[in-house]
Amino acid sequence: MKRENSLPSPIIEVRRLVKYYRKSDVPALDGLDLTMTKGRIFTLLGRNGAGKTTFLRIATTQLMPTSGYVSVLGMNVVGDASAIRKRIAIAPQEGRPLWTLNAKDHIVLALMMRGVSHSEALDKAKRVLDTLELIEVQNVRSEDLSGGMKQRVLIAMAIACDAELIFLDEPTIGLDPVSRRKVWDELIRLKTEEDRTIVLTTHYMDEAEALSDELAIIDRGRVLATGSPSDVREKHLDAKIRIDVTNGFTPEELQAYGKVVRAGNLLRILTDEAKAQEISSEALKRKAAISISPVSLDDVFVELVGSDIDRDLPANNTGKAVKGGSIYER
Amino acid sequence: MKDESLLDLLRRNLRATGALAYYIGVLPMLRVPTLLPFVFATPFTILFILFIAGQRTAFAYGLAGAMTMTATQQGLFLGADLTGLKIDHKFQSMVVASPVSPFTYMFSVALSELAFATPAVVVLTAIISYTTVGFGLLALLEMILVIVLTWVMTSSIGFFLSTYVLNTRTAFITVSFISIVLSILPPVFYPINTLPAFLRPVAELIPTTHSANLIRSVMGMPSGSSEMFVSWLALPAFTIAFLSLALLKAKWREP
Repeated sequence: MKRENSLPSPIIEVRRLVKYYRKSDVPALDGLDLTMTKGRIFTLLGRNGAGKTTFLRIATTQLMPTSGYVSVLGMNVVGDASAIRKRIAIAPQEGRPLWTLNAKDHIVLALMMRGVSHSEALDKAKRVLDTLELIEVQNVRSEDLSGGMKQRVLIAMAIACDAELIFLDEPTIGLDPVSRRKVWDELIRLKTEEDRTIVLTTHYMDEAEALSDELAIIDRGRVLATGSPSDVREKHLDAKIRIDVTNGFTPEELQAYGKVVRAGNLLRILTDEAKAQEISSEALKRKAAISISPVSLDDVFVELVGSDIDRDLPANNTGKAVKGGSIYER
Repeated sequence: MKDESLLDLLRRNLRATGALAYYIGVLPMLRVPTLLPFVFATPFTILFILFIAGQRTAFAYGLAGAMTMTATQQGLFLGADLTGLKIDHKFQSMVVASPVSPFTYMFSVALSELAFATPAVVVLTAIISYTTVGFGLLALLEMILVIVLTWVMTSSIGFFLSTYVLNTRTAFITVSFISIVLSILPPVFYPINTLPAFLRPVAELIPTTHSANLIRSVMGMPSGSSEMFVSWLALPAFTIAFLSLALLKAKWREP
């Protein structure tokens, strides 16, 4: 059970971490600095190729760093790998269950690999299968499971064991909304009831908002923002309100109210409360459809990482990618 | 975290070995027995050709060769299977980030390969014992020792390769090539003295030459130019060398 009144202590410390892959002049990690706290859920957010998986592979002792320092559970990942491995578990990205084994077999295998007895492994497997709603398909071979079920089997293998520190690399990719929430509930239960620390990577902003005690947005191997979701929102976005406009306004008109972002068929304005009042009144007059909500991590992410996306675009690519002006594409 | 006692360490490793061998090798074999003919296919095809085309002596050489090839193939298949587990399933990621040591993993999955080879080995042993006059318990034990040494040696090669190969297709091609080099080209299915003289020293450098030589001697067949004691020294030496290579130079953790 979780200890009360204990001071948060770092479980992972990363200092100036650099990783170059062989045959690449571009660093996958470029001076990464992070601190993750025990008994919390820490999320790494970033685009594909941002360095999330590289970091996870270094922290789980699968990959050597080029330089810098990483301490996991108070031990150096370079010199103390064997000791670290006894206390961690991972669900890797894009893993695939073994086709001849069923869901129960996978979990029993994952547990017995760590020295758990067969009878205890069966008991634990049953509980995890039940939690992740796999109990009805526990004896179905993985080749006959849906993609989402296969993904849940991999998550189950990682969370079934007693590891203090669990790494999940894009765990809910391919899961339907109900299954995602089941996984979220279980991760929160592991944190609150069993004092486990969870480090996960995701592309889903709602997942990061819902789960994270702390998060880091990383891009090109560097940390762009870190803190609690609310800290990150407040620190990195001046706007407090997001307004999605379906019709009734031109982009040029909306520029008067704040920063305008094109989001699919919508025009999204990031603004403050006073401007939100103004545009609401104007929308009523015009009978335009708008929706108003607080800014989210999604907006922070686009603000921080989207600027790099825009830099990647050739000049005059779209005619609307005028970052630095006030309209840009999402 | 309290230190693990020696007994706990032993228990944990035994459980890991048993679970990995059972779930990766034995259980798939029981659930999909149609996979077994692939293990039999090549060695038994060569044996069949020698049976049809050759005399009794050729068939006897075929038996020794088929036994050597079965042990060799299963060890090498470890390389292809481990590459699949690493690249396609990302299973090795889970294993590296766990208390399972590289040796335990290699040994366990190699055992699972041996499980697949067992029916073929049993059939070949039965034919050898039926066709060899005076094939007793000692001969059986000697043959098992040769099979085990060959399997450990080629499993070590397979494990070493799997940690370097970056895709499954390359792994299968490489393993198939090495299998030919180790069990078809050298004097495994034929006596070494039928090779041109200048090739014999080269053949002596191939470990499976000695495996086949030793199995033939167990079957009471002429051993060829290579003396038996040389083969009894060479096979364990090759095994130790490749096992050391696997344990010391395999890339368990990527640089």
